[in-house]
Amino acid sequence: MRALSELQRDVLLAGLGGLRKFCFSLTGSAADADDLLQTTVERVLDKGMPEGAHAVKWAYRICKNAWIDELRSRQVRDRYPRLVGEQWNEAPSAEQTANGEREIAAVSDALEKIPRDQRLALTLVAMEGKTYAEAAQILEVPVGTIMSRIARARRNLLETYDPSNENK
Amino acid sequence: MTEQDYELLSQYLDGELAAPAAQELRKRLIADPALRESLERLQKVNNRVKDAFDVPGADTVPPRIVTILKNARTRRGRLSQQQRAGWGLAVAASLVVASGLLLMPDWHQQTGESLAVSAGDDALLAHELETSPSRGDGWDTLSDGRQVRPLLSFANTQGGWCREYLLSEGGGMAWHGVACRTEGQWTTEVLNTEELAGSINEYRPAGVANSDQITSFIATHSAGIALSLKQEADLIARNWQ
Repeated sequence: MRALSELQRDVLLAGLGGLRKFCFSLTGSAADADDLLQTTVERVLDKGMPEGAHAVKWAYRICKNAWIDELRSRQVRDRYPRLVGEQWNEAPSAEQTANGEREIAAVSDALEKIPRDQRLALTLVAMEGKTYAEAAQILEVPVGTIMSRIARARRNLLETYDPSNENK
Repeated sequence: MTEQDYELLSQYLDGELAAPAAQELRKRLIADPALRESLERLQKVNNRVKDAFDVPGADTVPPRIVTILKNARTRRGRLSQQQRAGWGLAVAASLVVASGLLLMPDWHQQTGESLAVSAGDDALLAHELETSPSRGDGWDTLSDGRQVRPLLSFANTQGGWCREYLLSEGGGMAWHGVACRTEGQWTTEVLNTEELAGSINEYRPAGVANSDQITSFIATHSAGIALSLKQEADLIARNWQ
């Protein structure tokens, strides 16, 4: 299962932007997102993928595993709301940056408090726009499990995060 | 609110509820203000989660990662067309000095082990780099019979332009270099040799580790990703101004 086909590589190249956004949603930091994305790409290239595998879906799965490994090996959570504005192409205003950082920090704090599996499911569906079936493929669980995890994630979020209190 | 209600509302939010179940839920929402309020709160928190990370640049991929992927070997064990047009190719560094001196008498030592040769002294190559678009395959034939394939163009960190290219003189080897344009002159900043495998349209790297030379040069000196063909064509039309 070494290496990728040319098609898989091209598909993955086209999907890198979405994968980067997924990394950012998971880590909450531009720098950490870049590191996670690079780790993902390197793992994909190192391990390869089955000939018939969809490159982007496969990479999401690798990314998820890499993120879990990262959480296990380092206390990423402590570094969490360091955040934003580190390397955007379009520089936001100071006020936008401040509001954006506060918003991300508040949401990140809330996301930190929910179980990892729930967070992954919610990230894929609510932030990445994946269907339950796609999320199930990536996370390698039944669709019903995704359904439950997302519902619980939202319920748990509501216990720690009140959207009406934010200044957005 | 039961666990099942949360699941129903969550599926409804995500558009994952089957039509009959969604219809049934809508009826309940009309009749049950508490349920309706729960849906609104879930929707709000969902939007916040979504919007919080939907910021400019969230999907911006660092060029170094694009480079890593573009340089990857594909399953067939050959560099793909896109790779050929992409960043860097693996080469045999050990051949650089020996063969390079024969081919290009203008080698001179720069800092460390880096070498440079003036493409400006090779008028035909310089003219090719000045006027010809990049291509993924095929070759342009110079008037002296050598064959050239500009691979890509990119802006460097000094505000100038650079081009990666292949230059074949036959004999199963090709030069693989990056030349940068300074004050109207193309100067090759890094140059290696590459083995042509079989026909001139196929080549294989001599050593993966050596590919780092050109990849590293590009990664270090490029100001962003490679120019599109249109951007490159515009630049050629404007004499790289």
